[in-house]
Amino acid sequence: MKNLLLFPYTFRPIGWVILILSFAIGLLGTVLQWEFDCLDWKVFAIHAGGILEKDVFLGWVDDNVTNELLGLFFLLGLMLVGFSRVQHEDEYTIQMRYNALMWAAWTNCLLMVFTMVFFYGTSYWFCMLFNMYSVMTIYVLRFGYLLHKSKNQSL
Amino acid sequence: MKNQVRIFRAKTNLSQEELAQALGVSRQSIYAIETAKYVPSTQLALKMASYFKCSVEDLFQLDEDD
Repeated sequence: MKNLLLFPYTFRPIGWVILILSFAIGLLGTVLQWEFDCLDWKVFAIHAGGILEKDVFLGWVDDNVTNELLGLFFLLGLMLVGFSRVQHEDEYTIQMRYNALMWAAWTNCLLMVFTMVFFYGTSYWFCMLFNMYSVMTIYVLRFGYLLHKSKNQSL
Repeated sequence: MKNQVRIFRAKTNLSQEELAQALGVSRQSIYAIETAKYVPSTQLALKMASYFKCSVEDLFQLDEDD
């Protein structure tokens, strides 16, 4: 399949390294509640503010960007793993990609409904934050499972 | 969709790997096609028919429930 936007195969292992490292550091950071002091940056925001904070539109704000960077690296890892060619990329692999994408979209919708119905207040926003990554995460997991299954079955 | 790919492959004494290489697909694809888990594209079906020097209908037939 030449008309599908995919990274070269060599990007796949790089993606796994970025994904595992960002996940591990992110998990530790969430559990231990720490942030890197060197990442206290002045960043440009389209909008920033909260209930007790001053609203800023199209301006610079002070922020510790540890979470943002970890989130970006996690997403980058998911993209490199999910959207890199496998060793033998062909039309059967494309079918597996479609299958995994459908699974991811369905699961994301169900998770959103579940979150809306059963979570309230700050828990709701916390769950929605995790749901942001659910499409790519489920896609990568499902596609990996299908690849593994097809390899084992044809032995 | 039924198919006779395994029979044609056996007649020509080819392994799944060899057929896959000849057609430019993975061995997993050949296995999935042979076990009717995957219906190939028209392009791949035509390539297969051309490789085995037969018609696409010789290789693939509609099932009753298709």
